[in-house]
Amino acid sequence: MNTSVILPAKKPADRQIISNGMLEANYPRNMWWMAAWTHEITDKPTARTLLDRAIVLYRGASGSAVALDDRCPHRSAPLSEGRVCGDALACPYHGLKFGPDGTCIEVPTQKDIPKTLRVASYPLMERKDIIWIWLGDKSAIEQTPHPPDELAPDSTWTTIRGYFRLDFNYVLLRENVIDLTHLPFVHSATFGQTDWIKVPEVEFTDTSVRYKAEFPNSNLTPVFGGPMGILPGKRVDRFQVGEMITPAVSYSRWIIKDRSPEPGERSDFEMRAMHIATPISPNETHYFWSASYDMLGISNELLEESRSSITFAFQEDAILLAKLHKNVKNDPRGLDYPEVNLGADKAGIHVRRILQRYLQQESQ
Amino acid sequence: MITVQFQKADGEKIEITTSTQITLMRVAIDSGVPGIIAECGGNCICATCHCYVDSSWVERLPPIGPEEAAMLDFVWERRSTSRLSCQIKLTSELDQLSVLIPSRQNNS
Repeated sequence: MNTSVILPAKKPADRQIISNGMLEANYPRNMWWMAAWTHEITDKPTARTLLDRAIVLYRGASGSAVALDDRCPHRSAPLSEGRVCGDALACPYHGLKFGPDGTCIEVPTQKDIPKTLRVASYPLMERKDIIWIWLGDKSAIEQTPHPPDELAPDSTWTTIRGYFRLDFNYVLLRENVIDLTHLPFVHSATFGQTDWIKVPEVEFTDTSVRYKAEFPNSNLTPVFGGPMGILPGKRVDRFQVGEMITPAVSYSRWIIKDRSPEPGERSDFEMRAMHIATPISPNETHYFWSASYDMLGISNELLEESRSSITFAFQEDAILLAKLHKNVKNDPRGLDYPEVNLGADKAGIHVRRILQRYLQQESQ
Repeated sequence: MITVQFQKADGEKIEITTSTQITLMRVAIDSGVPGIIAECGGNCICATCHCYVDSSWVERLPPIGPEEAAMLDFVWERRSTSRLSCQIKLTSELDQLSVLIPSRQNNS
């Protein structure tokens, strides 16, 4: 009955329909990854492992941030233990100095500097509060879109920022922040947003995926309501949208309408969050986050309270996902274990599909 | 009401009379047709309601949309007649539609 042709199909290498590749180096290199918050990089060198590469970051006398391999090509000492001299970085072991382009400019014990004495230098892009790094093929930079700015559009917003070191593959964070149906379970005591048990609307392109969900006449987590002056227990309309822009960056927006504001008070609010991941290795991840409120004049006390609530809630994810990662890693079957995809995994599956596309493009 | 036919990989045929405006996947699940799993409940994300449409029907079905196209890359043994049954909404024009059930779904 079927006189059809068998097409060259992609056979799954394991029993995940679309693998997230979490046990391997599943990160594209030809894109911008976050290296640091701008304020972190000073004339004191910072050591940071990014995509399996030990990097030293510092800011020279000219004010520009620099990223070099954190390994002296002479005897492998970590340059991050050295000191910044002008725009150069001096090795802590024998005092060799390297300029921002990685070229050696001084060898204390000899006049001639061997041409071979150089470290790799990595392009950085400093935009607003974030320093992005390029660890891939430099010839691909030009055709790659710039990394996104932080989402707070202007100085009428208040932003708090934070950092976590996560003991799991970065793709688990990507899947976690694009699918909020874990909120009622992982965060019932913190965010307490127990109405997140529906499949949101999902849209996708070849490079991005986005969800949208509306919660009319619902409660708002005090974590976000507090700083914005919305009283706990107040019913509001919540419109939530989130998007993965690149494998490094997702954002989420909480757009709130208070239908019965107190006299003289505003009725519309917005909170935005950025979730930026940079792989350290297949098993560890830098997680940079920010949360922005569309208002000024929030007291430091409220902001600190908010920061500690967000930190506490993210810790709930961090602990669970580290255990999840271990569960897969320590199982000899690895990803060769039947994995079920539910309707609510729609955005997460598109995260994986986009990631596979990036990786395939790079392997060509 | 219309009639649709599922043919199992071993050749056995299952005929079902059904109302329209529901998907072919819904008919298969509600009637317990073996081999159609539909883990995600019709959200076009699991690719486990894969079927091969009888070649005479390929052109008569609603075209493959972008969501289905994305997921068809991940079915077990894709053919030119492959479709996801959750994306085939039944109408009176589809009376006597006939599909073959693959020998397995992608992670079964």
